[in-house]
Amino acid sequence: MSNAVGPDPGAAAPSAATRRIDVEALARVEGEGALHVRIVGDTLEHVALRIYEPPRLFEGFLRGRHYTEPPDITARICGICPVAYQMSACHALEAACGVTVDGALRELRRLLYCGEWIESHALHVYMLHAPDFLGYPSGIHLAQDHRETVELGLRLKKVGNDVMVVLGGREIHPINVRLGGFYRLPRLSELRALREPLLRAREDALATVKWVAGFDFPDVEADRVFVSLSHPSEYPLNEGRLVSSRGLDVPVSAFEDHIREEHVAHSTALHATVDGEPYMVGPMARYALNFDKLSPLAQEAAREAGLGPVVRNPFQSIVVRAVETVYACDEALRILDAYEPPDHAFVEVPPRAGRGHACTEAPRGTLYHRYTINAAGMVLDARIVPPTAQSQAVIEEDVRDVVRGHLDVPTDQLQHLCEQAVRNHDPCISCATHFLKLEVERR
Amino acid sequence: MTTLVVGVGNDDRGDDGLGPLAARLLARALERERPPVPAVPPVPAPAAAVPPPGVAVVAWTGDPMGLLDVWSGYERLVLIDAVVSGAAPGTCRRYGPDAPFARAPGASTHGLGLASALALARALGRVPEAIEVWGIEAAQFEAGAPVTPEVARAVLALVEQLETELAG
Repeated sequence: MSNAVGPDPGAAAPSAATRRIDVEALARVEGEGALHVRIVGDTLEHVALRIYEPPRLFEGFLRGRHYTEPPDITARICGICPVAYQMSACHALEAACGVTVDGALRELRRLLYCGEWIESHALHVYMLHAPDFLGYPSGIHLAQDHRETVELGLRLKKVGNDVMVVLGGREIHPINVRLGGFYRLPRLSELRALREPLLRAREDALATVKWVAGFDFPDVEADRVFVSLSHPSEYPLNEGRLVSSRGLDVPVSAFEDHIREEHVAHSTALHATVDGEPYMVGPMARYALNFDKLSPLAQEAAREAGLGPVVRNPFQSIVVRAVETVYACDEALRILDAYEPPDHAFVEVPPRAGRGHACTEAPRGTLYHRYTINAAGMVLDARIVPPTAQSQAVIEEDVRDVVRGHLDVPTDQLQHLCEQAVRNHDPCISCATHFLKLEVERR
Repeated sequence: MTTLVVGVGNDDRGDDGLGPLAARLLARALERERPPVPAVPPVPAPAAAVPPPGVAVVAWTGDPMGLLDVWSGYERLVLIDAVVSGAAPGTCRRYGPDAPFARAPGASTHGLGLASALALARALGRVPEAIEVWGIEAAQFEAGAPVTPEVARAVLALVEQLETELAG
């Protein structure tokens, strides 16, 4: 995405005038949005994360569709995390129909999700986020000077894609997921062929943790409310209870009792609060709330990288993302090694009138789906709350903190820091639109 | 010389589907000229009609970054993609490897578009020696719309031209 920087009349004498930074289209984030920052003298007056990607209206056009369709329709919301949409849709609709998918089919779903985590996290760490810390304008520029490093990242990403192809039929918008399981089970030979690449990917992911842990991080400590799923025995992917760092612990069916979304004038995405407070979802939240559920190898990688069980510096999210990539490789290998094929590729999910809720953990955070269907299986009502919309208020808070802490730096550097503060969250604007451009104005 | 032809695009977004469409038509045309292996001992086919070995055609509708692995190892790469230059819809132009493709904001919903994938491949030294890009001017990218007639005509003309060149 092109990155146009607007006029900055105050740059020559930053303390004497309004400083304004315009980023017409934020680079290296998914979708279209903008950021407006206005500084008058030494005071930060205004920060708005403006999402101008047009509203997507998915919830509206799911009404009247057959209950088997939302997994494929909602997968189209995002090219980066289609599996998240498919999984949340399947679990919610299965809940409405009173069906639980467990055993080997549940494990295969988890394996598919691991593929998406590896693919999405590797893309963000290497191509979108690392350039910020190393002073490159893009992953392509990074690749010119650090060829072997970027090759490693691409190799890692590809293993994620390969997992998605084996389980999902293809890497973007998989076509093999259905209510109750899969259309076709992977062949044992296909699964076996993933083992060697995943072993290498796990080593590559460990090397990634070491690499990003060595970056120079701005000294920022942010006290944010974290929200994610939590499961008694596993790092959350497909299921769990909705928990927060403020003590929330409820079933996902109570999501809407605690999470409120409201319109803000400057954005086509909704702003969310949990029990009245802005909050964040995603790797930092999951990590803080589920550190003990990470595999021993992932925990060790985190400790060696200097991370405690809670990370509060949003710039270190890149390290957490790398640790989660280690986990995803580790977990995928665990699933492969324990796999016993199920008798059938899916379990029947006959329709019944009812309402179902589900949250799963997309790479960017908790993704909520709720469906109401009738006895004939028609979707009467749908609600989707994507992760980026939930974190949007906290992203603005992070930008405020960065600006307040760096009022004296030249506007172009400040602009870069602001953009970085946004990219720390790996926002997916396409998903949130129901979501970016940076403007810093100094007076 | 080994050649790879890749038609890039999204079948479900109007004229963005012209790349995959061209690739499929070209693959079929080349296949026609190269009869499938018969069960009985073959009569030698006319030499001219058999496309040289080492020509592969791919319709690519996935993540453009994945192309780095697809085109690795080929000596010549022929890319077919939709372009927006302001020319009349269906205008077909051949661009060199250094064409200044700008990625318009919002042109792709993915991390990297084709131009970025090419730039990345170049940075990594993973591009074929010879690259040509055929760009056909698109009229629309409507969800679910078919390829516009004048664009389809340009696709057919390009397929015919490439078929003659590659089969010869």
